[in-house]
Formats: sequence, structure tokens, C-alpha cells
Amino acid sequence: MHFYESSIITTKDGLQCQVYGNEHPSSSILVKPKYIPTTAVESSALAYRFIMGRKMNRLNMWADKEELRAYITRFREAYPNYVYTSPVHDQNRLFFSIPIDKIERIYFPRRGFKELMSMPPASLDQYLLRVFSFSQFLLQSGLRIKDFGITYSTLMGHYNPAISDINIVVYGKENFWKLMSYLERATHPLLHWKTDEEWLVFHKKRNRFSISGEKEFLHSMKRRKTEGYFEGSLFVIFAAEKEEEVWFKWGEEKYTSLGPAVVEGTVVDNFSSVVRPGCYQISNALVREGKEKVPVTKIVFYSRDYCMLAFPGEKMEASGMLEKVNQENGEFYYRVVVGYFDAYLDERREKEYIKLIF
Amino acid sequence: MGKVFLFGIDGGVPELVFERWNDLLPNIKKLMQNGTYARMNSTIPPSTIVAWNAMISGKDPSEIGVFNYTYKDEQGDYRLVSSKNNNARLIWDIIGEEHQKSIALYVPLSYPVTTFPGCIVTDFMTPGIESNCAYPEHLKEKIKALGNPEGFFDVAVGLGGHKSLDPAELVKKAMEMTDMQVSLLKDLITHKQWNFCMAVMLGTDRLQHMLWRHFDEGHRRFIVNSPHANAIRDFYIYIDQKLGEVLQLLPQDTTVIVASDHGMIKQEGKININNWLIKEGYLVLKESVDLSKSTRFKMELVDRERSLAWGGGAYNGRIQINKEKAGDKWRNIRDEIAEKIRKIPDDKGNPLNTKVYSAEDIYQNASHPECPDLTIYFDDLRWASNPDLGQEGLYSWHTAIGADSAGHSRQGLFIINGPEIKKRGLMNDVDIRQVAPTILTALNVAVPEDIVVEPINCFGEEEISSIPPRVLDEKSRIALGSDSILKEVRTDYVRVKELFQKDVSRAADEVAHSFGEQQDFFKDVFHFLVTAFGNQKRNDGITPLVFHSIYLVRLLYTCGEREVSALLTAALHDVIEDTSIDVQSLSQQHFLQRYPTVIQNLSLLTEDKTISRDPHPTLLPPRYREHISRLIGAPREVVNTEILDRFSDLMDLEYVLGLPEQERKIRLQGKLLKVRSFVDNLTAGRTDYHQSCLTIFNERVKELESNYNLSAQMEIVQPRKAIDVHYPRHPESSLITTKEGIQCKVYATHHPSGRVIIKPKYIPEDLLQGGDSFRKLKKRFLFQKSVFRFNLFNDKDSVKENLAIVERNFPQLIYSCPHHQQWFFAVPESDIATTHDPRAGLRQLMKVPDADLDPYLKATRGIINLILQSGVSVSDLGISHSTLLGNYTPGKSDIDILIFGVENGWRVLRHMEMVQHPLLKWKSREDWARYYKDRVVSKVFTEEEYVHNMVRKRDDGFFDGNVFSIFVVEMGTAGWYGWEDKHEPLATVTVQGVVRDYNYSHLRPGYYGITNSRIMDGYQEVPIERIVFWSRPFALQAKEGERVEACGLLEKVTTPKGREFHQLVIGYMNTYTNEQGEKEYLKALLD
Repeated sequence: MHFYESSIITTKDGLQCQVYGNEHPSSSILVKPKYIPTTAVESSALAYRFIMGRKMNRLNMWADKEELRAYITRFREAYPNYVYTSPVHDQNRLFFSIPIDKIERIYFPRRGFKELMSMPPASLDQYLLRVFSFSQFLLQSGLRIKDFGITYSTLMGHYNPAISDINIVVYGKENFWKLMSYLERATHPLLHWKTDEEWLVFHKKRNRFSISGEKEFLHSMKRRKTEGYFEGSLFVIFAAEKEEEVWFKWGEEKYTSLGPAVVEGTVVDNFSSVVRPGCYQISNALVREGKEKVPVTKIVFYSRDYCMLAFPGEKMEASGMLEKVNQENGEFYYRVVVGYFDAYLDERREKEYIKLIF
Repeated sequence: MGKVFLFGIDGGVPELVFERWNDLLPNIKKLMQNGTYARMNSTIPPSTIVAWNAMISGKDPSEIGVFNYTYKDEQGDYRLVSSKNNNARLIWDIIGEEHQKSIALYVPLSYPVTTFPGCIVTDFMTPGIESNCAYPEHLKEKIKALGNPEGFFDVAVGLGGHKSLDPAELVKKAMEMTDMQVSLLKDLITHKQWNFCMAVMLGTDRLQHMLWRHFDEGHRRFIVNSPHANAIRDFYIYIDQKLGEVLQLLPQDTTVIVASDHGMIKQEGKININNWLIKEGYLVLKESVDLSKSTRFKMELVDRERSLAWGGGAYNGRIQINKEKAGDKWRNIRDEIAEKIRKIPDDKGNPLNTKVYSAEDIYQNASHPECPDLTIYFDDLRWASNPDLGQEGLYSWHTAIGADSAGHSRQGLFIINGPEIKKRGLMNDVDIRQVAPTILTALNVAVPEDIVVEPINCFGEEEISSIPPRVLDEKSRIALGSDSILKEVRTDYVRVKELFQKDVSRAADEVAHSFGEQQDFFKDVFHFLVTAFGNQKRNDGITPLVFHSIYLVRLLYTCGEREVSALLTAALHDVIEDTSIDVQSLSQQHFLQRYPTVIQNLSLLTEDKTISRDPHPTLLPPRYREHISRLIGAPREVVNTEILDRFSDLMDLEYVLGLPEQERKIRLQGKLLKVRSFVDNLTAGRTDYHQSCLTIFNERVKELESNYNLSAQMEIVQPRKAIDVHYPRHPESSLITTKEGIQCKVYATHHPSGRVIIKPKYIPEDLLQGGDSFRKLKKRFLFQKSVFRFNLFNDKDSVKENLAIVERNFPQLIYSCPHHQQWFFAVPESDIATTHDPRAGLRQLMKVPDADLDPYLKATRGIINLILQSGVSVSDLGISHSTLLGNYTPGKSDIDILIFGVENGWRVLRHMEMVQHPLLKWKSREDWARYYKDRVVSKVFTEEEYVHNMVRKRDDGFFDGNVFSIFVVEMGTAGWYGWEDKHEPLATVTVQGVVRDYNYSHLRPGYYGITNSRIMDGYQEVPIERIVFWSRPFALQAKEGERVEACGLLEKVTTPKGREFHQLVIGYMNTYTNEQGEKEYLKALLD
């Protein structure tokens, strides 16, 4: 089933979830719970937020591992219907999903964007006016209003003008690449891209990037025009895959884990590296560590951190879970997957990565 | 010749062993009951390797030459310390000269060993079985024979290795290690010759560091329902069993000591000491240092040319001043750093009780080159020091090698029992260095002159110089019997009172002393009380009045209470009533910063002195009745304080007992009526108070009844809320969302049947049909939609048109009330999709840690806390509008607070008239005058009248720069407004009158009861009973006795029972579109 990534769903029992990926099983929608009420399960290791009259925990997969593990265990007990057991994965991979009958309201980024763009600018506060202006700037790329969405706090209305990011969704990978190409050359007096120093602060802040050297990191980050500042607000641009563009259909492949592996290879296609889950097609793969020395052809990731890291012809290295993928037509291939939710709960969290090799 | 056996429990916590789990530790308990025990002050710092060696040398760290796990070698490099660094002579060295033999097992800092006067196996720093870890060598074979030499010395290899173990694995390894170690101990004490034997059990330390938060509910990272919740307790039980096995093997003349090197204390987090030094400019790292990942601090990372100081430490902090760079000014720099460190707050901005020691303050040999220039106890060790790098900011939970959930505290435990030892029970705190001369004395060996501390006074005659606490938990109560408890308390009471009569400050200190780790805190509190009460005396003229407050704390502690907020409540319960301290200055005291509920408790505990309390033998004086009605349902800590306060009422009755019999009887009867009514009403239907409090109270009542032939009566008092506890479903100023998605503000608390009176607030644009669009209304982008912010403040034509649009698109929202001949906005109950509960929202908000709130929500909490000081309960408060839904704009949005209950409303508003707070601001007369000039277009108010009317309102103000509004909401199933009354509009009139009742003037709809009314124009003279208003600006406009003037719609009202009266109404909905709206007003007249 296709359902666009980055929509926000509130549930009858108070969870606020973001749709996670664009392909979903037929009976439920895969999500990442973003804010979880503290009435049934609570952890002081997670940040608290007061939203919609509720004390919520903000689920952060980078929280203290032991505490996170304990929290997820309690979450499973408190919300068993929100944990999805995948029939296409041989191991008990952790997926969150929302049972259809638990949905209270769906906030559609595309609809929100359209509404926002129809507003008289005079009626907008300073923050929304900034989002509005930025959106107008993006629309000069040639994409249309229906190709964009806004999400998270901008969509929900609980943004803090001083600190909230502007989160923009672009519908369609083709559109997204088109926008990237526009942003490479476009200028605007209120637009500025992250400087080396700002990227390096980010590099230091996020331990998961420490595997890359500063030089490689800067090289990768500076060429992806998905993050920058508009009138001082950080903006982040995501891609959501159209149904006709999806690089896999949920249920049409079966995955068998072959254990952790480190693989390197040359990128032959990064078209789908802009979505979540994203993927790089590679060639000349070499399994450097791992039990199975097999021809890996895809590096797949569930974290947006690894979007647009490498381009065709470049070499990359990934440490993740090696899987054999059996397709419906009887063929199979091998892939390495980085960032399954369950990887955040054990030693894989520190070990998994994708990086560009110079 | 006697023997001494020392059983070391590393990190053994006095509170757990002496109190909490004492009944579960029969072997330790027996040693305590028949011997002497005390809390033992550890070394500074309370580091394992330092403290154990102080214990067996009688020396401080500067004399031992070891302060922590590293030392600087001759090349200036830091290396791990070992037994070779120990400069002190230890017990076995001293008694060895007398040819006495020792067995030393697992004593920290004993590795490596080459020779020994007896048998030794080294400690957790031993690198492996093949090292110099045992003497004689053949002991290694015994260890190997136990099966797991790798797990013999510690639970994991390497310092801090235990931090990476899974809890279950940690417990398993600790028990395996202890099993093996005790086996060897039992083997050696039975097969070897010895005079002194010592063995240190490490498992307690390891488990407590890692598992504290699994059992301590007060821990900020407490793990609810952890499967390891009992792991530490069970390990103590296990250690006690092992001790029991060893005790069985000891010769009868053995003096047994059970001791710990330090206690443990829950860890709130770590202060990144080197981050702080970097931020303050004292420490500069080499440019090559990579701060992107967690890195252990090493001197090689420091740019010594540019650094003035660097930090170290684990549980305590250490600062070393770079004297080469600082030169002569190093002391100034040290003192400057110390001063700044004392001011570091916790991660939420609260002040910490941080202690900073300089070397000369604490050490005998302060010139030792390894002496830290400063030793720091962040918040008295509740916060640890983290010298590692790569952590962001000032606070962290992990170090580079992991996280502890508890750290070392300043006091360990000491228990001694033996043929020469007196049965003395708990004695004053001892110093860890005193253990060595105590052992030597027990072994009849002369104490060397260079040991400057005295042996612990457990050999001489009984002498109690202080007042040890007695703990009357439920088990003790049953064991002792209630008569004994009362007897004990009475004896204690008299003794402490005499101390207070002699020297109030010293007595206060001595009572504080019995609070263990909290003693410094309570010393501060008691000193504050002593100053606040000054020279006031009790009725006897000789006992300082402060005795009562301080003794109440002691009594509560004795009854088992350990919550600081509860003890503080008891300590401060009379401060507001009996001293010149007011709530404002009290709430600023540093010791209350962490316990905001105490102020609220004190409000409840404070009597209303304006009400009479003249004694009566059979009737409860009105003041007490009122007070009891307020106290019913109070928090547990208030109830405990009240019970003991009433018990105290019965303790000093000399001035009554000396009266003639008849008068005495009347007074006693009245007193018993008072105390029984308080206690019985407060404890009825609940069990959460301390049973011991009630027991001693009941015993004292029974005693008086019996001695003076009395029968204590009680009067049943209705709780204040009992008549009014119904919280309305749709209170005024709350929010509802209709099924269509219209967000509405509820506009009354009581509603016509089947409908809810509202005003639309946000109407989604996409709901409007046929090209309709509101005129001159602002749009907002909210909850994914473009919505109109609906209001009626526009020119009449626009309002009319907008109302027509509402009527066309949402006819169900227009309610033409048949009884009023008026229309209202109302939502049929069946159309309501969501009711946003203001009370539930606030309760949730109050649970969010401060650190996770943005400035707007912090301000919301701040104003709520200020309101709570009025004595209302948090359950009577709510939040609404954007504060509740989260779509506020910091700096712009109002904070909207609901107070449930008419009386509560007044209580809060009166409180707001009095209270002061640095963040609380009101518009001044000048502000209102300016506002009048700039914004108010009024034909009816002069500037003076306007200012007079506005400046005294306390329902709108500023808190931390945010506007806040207080809305009062009526409770109960039926409100004052009768929707079944029939209203006959008569005319628009202007009326004057005198306010006789303004009790409902803070509500919407609200009213002023009027007397002596006079119709100035518009209609014939009829008596007007009340002025009703539907618009909030008319609330709180006048008080009782004041003359008011108003213009509005005169109505004749007929109630369902047929009573008829006249009223004036201001602010019906149609006044927004007709001429009348411009004419309406209400004002208090200036005399």
C-alpha cells in the first residue's frame, strides 16, 4: 500500500506519529511515534513536551540505550497494537505501525501547504510568513503547489517561531532532484547555506557522523541542498516517493538476515537515495567484514542522515545488516541495511554507518 | 590475647543497613543491638582506595599520599596508583612489629604484594592471578581451586569495567566473586594463625553504582517496575548471610567490626568540570583535540602554556591549579574558581549545596604534591564530577566509560561488637581514621604517636552527649508496644526541651545532627527558625518557642518520615503564624527552592486568625472548624504534621493542670475536643499517614482521659469542598471542537438543556459554502487549515454580515432562547467532537520537568505556583486556549488560567492582591492612565474613574513578560444562573445602586447584587435586584458597599417558582449589532 511519508497521524489514545516510508503493509501504516503520552509508559531519558494538553515523551532513538531498550519493552506492553510484526523479515525486526481503527486525525502536508499558500500574508505571523516566503522561493523552481508539503510543527501549529525548523516535503523523487538542481544555482537574500563551521558543529553534535572524517563529511553535506537557513530559520527538505516511483513494493520481497557486515562498493545509482527508506545501487561490492562474501547490490538505509551521501561513480562503505532478498519472480539479490529501529537497541547502534570513501 | 575481625562492606550505606533493611539483616542487627554503631565520616574524598587505607592507618589522604586512582610519576606522567604509593603504616605493619599476624583479603590498594606478616590476597586492582597478588604464593592455588580466578578479584576486568555489564550479569558476577572470596576467607580464618583479619566485600559498591535507580523511586532516572528493583536489597541480605557464616567460625574473644569506606547517594547527573573550566577560560586544550566524541581526559590533551587549571575526579571533583603559569596569584585564582563553582546551579537552574575544600582546610600534609588544590562535592555529592571531554554543555549522565546511577556519599557505617565493647547503640558520628587506633586498642597494641585521632569511644563508660534518633516504624511499634513508645517519646521530649532551655542554637544543631546525610541541610533550616522565632518563649516562660517547631520535625522523623518536603512542612508550619516572616520572603529561602509544595502545605496549615477560637467544652470554636474543613483531604505530609502538632498540644499542660478542678476539666475537655476533631476528621477514610503518628497521639489522649476522667469528643466537620465538588463538564473559558472542526470558547458554566453556550473562536475557511467569506476577520493557519479568528469586535455592518454568514452556514450554532427573547451562540451537545479538559491539561503540564519546558510554559508554571501559594489545590486549577492546545506564540499569547470554585476564585484573587514576586507585574495607575488616553474611547468614564476601576483588578497581569488572565469558574451541578427563568425585556435604562453582594462578580455570566437602586432614566422606578453581565470587562468592577452606575437592558425576571424581580443586563449578544451596545457600561462611582 502506498501512503506518503511525513504525514502526521494523531491517534485516539493520544500518540502523535509521523508516517515512516512510503510503502506500507496492506493493513496498517508504518510510522515512527514522535510524541507518546506519558500516562501508559514514560521515560525520563526521553525529553518531555507538553503538547495538546498532554505530557508527552519525545521518542529519540539516540537516547541512552539501556533506557531506550527498557522503554521500548514497556511501550510494546502498553501499545501492543502499535508494534508491527513483519511477515517478510525473517528476524523480529522492530516496526511501528498504527492500526487503522486507532487513527484520530491525519494531517496531510500537501493539504497544509496548499492552505498556507492560500492565506493572505497579512494574516500570518512572522514564522509562517517566513515559511510562506520560502515556499514562494521554492515554487520558482518550476514545481507546482501540489508538489510540496509542510510538516511537523509547522503543519500542526505548535511551532515556536524562535526555534522551530521549517520542514518541507517534496512529492516525487523526480521533482526532488529537480528542486535540488534549482537550489544549486538559486539565490535569495534571505537564504544562506550552512557554512563549513556550521556543518562541523553538526558533525560534532551527531556522534553517528563521527565515522566520517571532517573532510568527507563536508564534501557530502555541502553538495546536498536539503538543509540551510532561511531568514535565520533552519529548513530541511524531504522527498516523498510517488507510487509510480517506489523502488520496492512492500510484501513483494522477503528478507533473510545474514548477520552484520561491512561492505564497500561503487555507486551506480543514487536516484532513490533521497527517500526513506532510501537506497544506493552499487557495483563491484566487496564484503570486507561479515560471514557471507556475497555480491551486494544495494545499500539501504532508514535514516535520513544517509540521504544523498554519494553519487554515481563514487565509492562508499556501509556497515549494517547483510540480507538476502528473495523476489517474487524467484530471483534474489543481496543488500546491506542500515538503521532498522531494532539496531538502535543493541551494539549495532554504534557500529552501523554509511560513508563516502575518497 | 583478643582478636579483631573487620568485615568490610564496600559502599555500605548506613540508612539502608541501620534502618531501611535492618530487619532483613539479622547478623548485622544482632551486632548492632549488642554493640555500638555510628555513621562514619569518610575521607575527603570518599574514594574507595583512600578511605580503606585511612581506616587501617589512622591517616588522612595527604599522609597516605594517595588521593585518587592516579599519581604523577617523576616524568610528570599520570600513572595508576598501587600499594607502592601508600606512605602510611597500616595495622598489619604496626602489629607485625609486636609479632602479631594478620590476614588481609581484598583490601583496596593492596596490590602488588611481595611480603606480608601473615596472609594477604590483593584487591580489585589486581591484574590477574599470575601477578603479585598473594602472599604466601601458595594462596594462588587455593584461588585457582575455586574455579574462576578471572572473576575472583572484581566483577569485570579493568577499572570501571562493571559499568558495561548488563544488570543481571552484574548481580550474577558479584555473587560468584563474593562466594569465592568468602570461601577463601573461611578457609584462612580457620586454618591460619591471626590476630587481625580483614576482608573487604566489593559487590555492594558495584551493584549500588549501577542499580540504584532500579529501586530508588526518588531517583530522577528511576526505572519503574524494574526486574532488578530488589537486587541491591537482596545482595545486602546475601552479604549478611555470608557474614553470619564467617561469624560462626570466629573465636569467642574476637572483636568484630563491620564497616564501610563510604556510603552511596543517588546521582542526579554529572557536571562536566573541564567543560566548565574551558567555558570560564581557565582551561585550554591543544588544538588537535577532537571534541566530537567522548574522550577520557588526559593531561596530554591540555595546552599547559595557556591553561590555569584543569579538573578531575569521579564522584567528587578535583581542581589542580597550574602554578607554573599562575605564579604568585595561584591562591587568588583558586579562591576565584572555588567561589564560581559554589554558584554552579543544577541543570534546571536550581542552586546546589556545593562544598569546596582547599587542601589546607582538610589535610594534615597539605603540601603533598599530589594534593588537589580544590576538592569539590557538587550538591554534597548528589552530583558527580565528569572530567571527560566531548560531552556537550555543563551536564551529562555518562562519562566516557559509562554511567552510574549512584555515587559515593560522605558517610559510611561502623559497627563494633565484642567482649570489651559496650552496648551503646547508636552514637555520634565517628571519623574513619579512628578505626585504626580502635583496632590497636582492642588488640592491646600501643597507638603510635603519629596517629593524631583518638580511638572510638566504645570501650569506656556509657556517655550520651547528643540525642540519637529513635525510629518508630510499624515493626518497632509492634515490637515495643504503644505504651513504651509514648514513654520513650516523653523522655526524649523532656530531654530535648531541657537542651533548648539551656542553649537553643546548640540544641538545634544536635537535633539536626540526627538527620544523617541531611544534617547540614536541616542545620540551615533550624538556624533560620531560631532566628525567625527570636526570643519568643512558650507559656512556661523559659522554653524557646522554636523548640516546638524543631521538635515536631524530630518527632516526625522518629515516626519514620524521610521525605524532606514533609519534614520541612513540619519545621515551618508555624513560621507564617508566629513570626514576622511572610510567604514571599519564606519562599525565597534557599532550602525551599527544591520543595515548592511546602509553601502550599503551609498555607493549608495556617489558621485564619480573624475567626474566633474562644474555648468551649462542647463546641468546636469556629476558627478550628474552618481550619479543619480546609484541611480535610490535604496532602499526606500536612496530615502527619497536624497529627503531631495536636499531639504536641497535649504535651505541655502544666498551665492547665494547675487550675482548679472544674476549670481544669473544662479546659481539658475543650482541648481534647479540638485535637480529636482535627485528627479524626483529617484521618477519616484515608490510610496514607504515618500510623506511628496516630499511635502516639491516641496513647496520649487515652492517658489524659484515664488520668482526668474525661471522654474525648469530636465534632464531624464537613470538608470545604463537599458541597461543591462537582466539576462542570463545560466550564466557562474552556474549549470545545465541533464535529465540523469549529473551535469554540465556552461562554458560561451552566447551560440550557442539551446545548453549550459558546462563542466561535476559529472557523475553518473551507467550511463556508457558496462563496461566503467573513468580513474583516483575521485568518490564521492552524492545525493544517486556514481558519478565521471569529470575533464580534468590528463595525456593526461587518458584525451583522458575519453573523448572517454564521447563521447561513451553521444554523445549529444560533440558539434563540425562548425564555430570554434573546439569542446566544450555542453548540448542541450532540455536535461536540472534543472537549479540551483544562484541569487534566494542567495536571499533565505540572508533571513535565522544568528543563523540558519552553519559556512560555515555564512562565505558566511560575504563575500557577504563585497561585498555589494561596492555598488552592492544583486540582482546582486549569489552563485553556493556546496554553492548553500548544498553539501559543511565546511573547504574544496570553496565559489563560481557570480557577474552579467561587470561593477558590476569591481566595486566589485576594492572594494576588497581596503577593509579590519578582516576575509578577501589574499595570500601574500610570499605565492605565496612558492606556485610557491612547486606547479608550469612552463617554462614560473619566480618566480618574477608569483608572480607579481598572487598577484594582487582579485577574489580568504580567508574569515574566507574558500576559496572564484568571477566569473563575463556578462549581456545583446548578449555578447561580437560571436558564429556566423567564426574562421580559422592558427598556434600556441607567441605574445607580449600592453593591450588597459581589460574590459572583468574578464569573461569566456574573452579577452584582444591588440595594438602594435608583433608575436614572429610561423607565419608571422599580427596585433592581441585580446587575448581570455577560462580558468579562464588567467583572470585578465593584465591591460590597460601593456605589455603582450602569446602563443596560432592564428585565423583569420570573423564576419557575413564580418569584418576580427586576435586573439589569449588560452584554447580551445582540448588543454587538444594535445601538444598545454603545450605551452599555458599568462603573464604580468615586465618592
